[in-house]
Formats: sequence, C-alpha cells, structure tokens
Amino acid sequence: MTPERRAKLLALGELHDQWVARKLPSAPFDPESRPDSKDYNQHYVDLDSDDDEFHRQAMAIVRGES
Amino acid sequence: MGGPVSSGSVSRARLREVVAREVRALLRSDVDDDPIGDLDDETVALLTAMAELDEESGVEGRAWNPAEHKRWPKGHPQGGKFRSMVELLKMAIANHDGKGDPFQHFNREQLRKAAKARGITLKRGEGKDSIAARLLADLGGAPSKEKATVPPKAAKKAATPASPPASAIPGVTLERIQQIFGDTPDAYGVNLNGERIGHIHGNEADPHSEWMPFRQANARWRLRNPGAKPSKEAAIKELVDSYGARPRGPASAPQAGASSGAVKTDREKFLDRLIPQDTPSVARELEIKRIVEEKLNGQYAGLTVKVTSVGADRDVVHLEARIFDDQGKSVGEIERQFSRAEDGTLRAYHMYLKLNPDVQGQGFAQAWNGHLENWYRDSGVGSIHVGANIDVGGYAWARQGFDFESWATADGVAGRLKWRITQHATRYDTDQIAAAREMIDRMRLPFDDPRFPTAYEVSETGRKPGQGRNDFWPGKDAMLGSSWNGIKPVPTSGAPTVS
Repeated sequence: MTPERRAKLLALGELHDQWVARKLPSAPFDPESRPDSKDYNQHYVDLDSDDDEFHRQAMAIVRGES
Repeated sequence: MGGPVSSGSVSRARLREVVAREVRALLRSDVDDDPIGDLDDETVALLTAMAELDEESGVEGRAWNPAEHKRWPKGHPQGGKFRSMVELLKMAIANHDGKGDPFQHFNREQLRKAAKARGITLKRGEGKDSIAARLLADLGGAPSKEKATVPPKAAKKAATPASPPASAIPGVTLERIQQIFGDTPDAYGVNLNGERIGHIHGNEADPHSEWMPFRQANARWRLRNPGAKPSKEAAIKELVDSYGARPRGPASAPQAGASSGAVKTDREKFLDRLIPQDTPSVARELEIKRIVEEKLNGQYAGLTVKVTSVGADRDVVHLEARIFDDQGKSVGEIERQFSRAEDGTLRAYHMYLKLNPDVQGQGFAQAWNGHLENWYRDSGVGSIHVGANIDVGGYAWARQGFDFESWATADGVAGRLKWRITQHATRYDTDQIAAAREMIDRMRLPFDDPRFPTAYEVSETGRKPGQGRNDFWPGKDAMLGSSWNGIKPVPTSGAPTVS
C-alpha cells in the first residue's frame, strides 16, 4: 500500500469514526427490514444512512481533493 | 460428590477404585465435596498430560478420560497448540526431581479441579501445595529421573509428596511480594481475588518486565476492595505510576526483534512484545492469556466481554471471547487474531462477531471495535483485516476505510459489478451504467496504480445525491453480499493523518 493510499484510508476511517459518533444515538435500528442479514447489527448505521454530506467528504478524501 | 458411574465402559478395577473412593469420601466429614464445575483449557491440558503419562507407564484406568474432553480439534486454527501445551506439561512433570513445583503456573482452584477429576479425595480447604503433592503422588507412572527404572505400580507407592515450591522470584522476598499483592495466600499462584498471578520475570523497577501488568492488576483489585492493604489512595498512585513509568537503567534495553525502525514508546511496542517470536513455553502462553484478558475483558455498551480462550504460537496470538448481558447470560461470541507478518508489521484479524438479536442495536459492535482500534493505535498494530463476506458487511466495510487487500479480491468485486449492469440493466439509468463501466475500467489497472479505485469508490459507484437506505445503485448492489478481503491501516499513536 502506497503512503498516499494509506493516508487516504486513514482519513476516511477517521471521518467515518466521527460520523458514526454523531449518528449512532439517533440511527434507526430496524433488523426486521433485513431479516437475512446476519451482520446487520454491526453495520446498521452505515446501511440505513441517507447522508450526502458524509458521501461528499468521503469522496473528496479518496479522490485526493481534500 | 461424584456422579453416577456407568459400568458399561469402565474396567472392573476402575469401578472398584471409584466405588472405594466414594465410600471413603462418605465416611469422612471434612471432605471437599464441592462440584468440580467446568474445566478450563489449562486444567484440561494438565489432566491430559497426566493421563498420557499414566498410559505411557502402564497405569490402568483413571476417573478422567481425556478422550471425553477434547479441545481445539484438528482443523481449528489452534489445532496442535493444545498438544504442545500437553507435551510441555508432560516434560515438566516427567523431569520433576522433587525440587521446585511442576504445577507452579496453575492456581489452587485448577489443581483442585484436576485432583477431583482424577478421583482424588481432598480435604475441605486443602492447600495448593498439598494438592500439588497429592497429584504427583497419584501419578503412578510419572517418570522422574529416579523413578524411570521403577515399575509403575511400585513407583506409585514410592512416590513422595513434592517439597513446597521454592521462591519463583529470585532476589525478591515473600514480604515484598505481599506488600505488592496484598496478603496473598499463595505468593505466585492466585491473589485474594482469585486472579492468576503466575511466575513473575524481570526486575520490578523495569516497566518492560512482567511486573508492571501484575502491579496494575493488583492495584485495580485493591481499588475494588477498599478494605485491603495498602490503602485505596496508594493503589491509585501505584496504578498511575505504573502507566507513567518509563525505562530506566540497563534493565530497559530493547528486546530482540523490537529494534527495527524508529524508537518506539512502551505502548507502541506492547503487542510486538506480546506476540511470541518463537514457540512459547506454557508459562509464557498462560501469561499472554492473562494479559489479553486484562486488556480486553470489560464492559462495552452495556454488555460484558470475557475472554474464554487464548492460544499463542510463533508470531500469532488467537483469542475467543464470549459476550454476556447484565444477567450473566451468554449473548454472543467473538474471535480475533493478532499476528506478526514476515516484514515485522503487526496485523489484527477481525474474524468473527456474533450477537444475539435481542441485544443488537445498542452500539456494542461500535464500542468494542472502537476500543480495539484505540488499543491497536497505542500498541503498534499496522493494519486491521476483515473477511468482508457476510451479508451487508461486503458493502459497509468499505465506508469504514477498509480497502481491497489484493488485486484478486478486487477483481471478484469487479466481476460482480459487471454482472449487475449486464443482468439488471433495467434497474439503472444510463448515467449509472456509464459510471459502472468507468469503474470497471479503473479496476483493470495495475493494483499499485494511483487511479486504482478504493473499495469505497466502488461501493458508491452510480449513487445519486439523496439515495440511501431504500435505494439501489450499481456499486451498492455489487458489494452487498460480496466476498472480499479488506485491509484498514491503523495510525500510529499521535501520528498526523489527512483530514
């Protein structure tokens, strides 16, 4: 892994951590909507997200625009 | 009291022996008749070692049959580790010459259970040394150097109780041990809280030595037990001092294998020192287990994690843990592995996490994995690895900063993306299909090309603004349910990253 790619992934991970910390308290938890997903509980914050802001910032990071 | 004995599969001699023990037990008023309870892996290893020594020396039928208590079967990631523990214990027992204590790394409770599992009747409250001696006496064929030429049955009669264990800590007095650990009934077996202390190596003043985690564990114990000596305030100071301690003097010289690259702090070297650089001794393996338990046992988002099994081998530490609710009911399982790669970097493998539905949605996974990542950050782990192959994880791991570990694993996802836009073309508009084709082209680039897409970019391929949980786009469809190996770098403690 190149240093540049590593730096992007670290930044994406940090952005995600901060985003989860904000979203977790109010994130909807609806396992009934995905009865076949064994790992729904690990990822429900991501899966049920409608957050364009995270997407915009994350894409800027991985494209090296930040 | 012992349970019912089935005569269907035992010899007459063994049946007589068991009945005789039961009768003797009934006639004794001070007999320890507490149930044996569950046997942990270490006790099972000890019993297996003793049973095999019995068998090798021709002693017939014991109450405990190792074949009924298998651990880590063939095919398990730790298959073979259990065997190495057994072999080392056999060696320690066989080489026992009446001095020292081959059971020194077992606590009283483990030896009590082992003795009872072998059908030995114990007095209530019988001490650890006495139990150890009776275990050795019961071991008919234990081929110590002198006993090797004596027929097994005769050897059993001739066996004498072991002398009390010598000090395990050269240069450190029992008085000093008791100052540090409180009034321990057994200087290096268990403390008053029943926690294993084990054999302590190194200089007490050296923060690299094994003294430090013992001091921390004991200080925590005293915090929970304010009546214990010394005072709560002293315990707090000891705990704070132990974390703040820095190397001093020649005792803090770098350890083998830890000298590459820049100078690392104590914390950064922690996992590097924990993961063995060679096949560990039983003592070291037990020590690793204790340290892992200390680092990871605890509460996470209202649920309790308890490490149940730790296996260590050259360049690898593997652990399994159970998750309990506030009623003590087991509600989940965890499996993790830490390893040292050929280039010396440390890797954490997040292998398995299962949580019962009734306790999901409370933030456990986030709290637990967050704790681990903080620990990795402080301990020198370079990367976290997942098998993103379970249902929604194939899509969600990419959002968290996990990337494709190799070109091959990315190629599998590229194939799914292509399949999606060819087999389900009506599901997407022309812009989404064009975006997917462009992404597939980028995934044909060499893996180290800077334009090769990250897993996150692939997961978002064709997403339109505002699309979310109930919407579908090519990247999400391709990665939901996909199977790929993910890698996420871990920043070194305090290192700046792109923001």
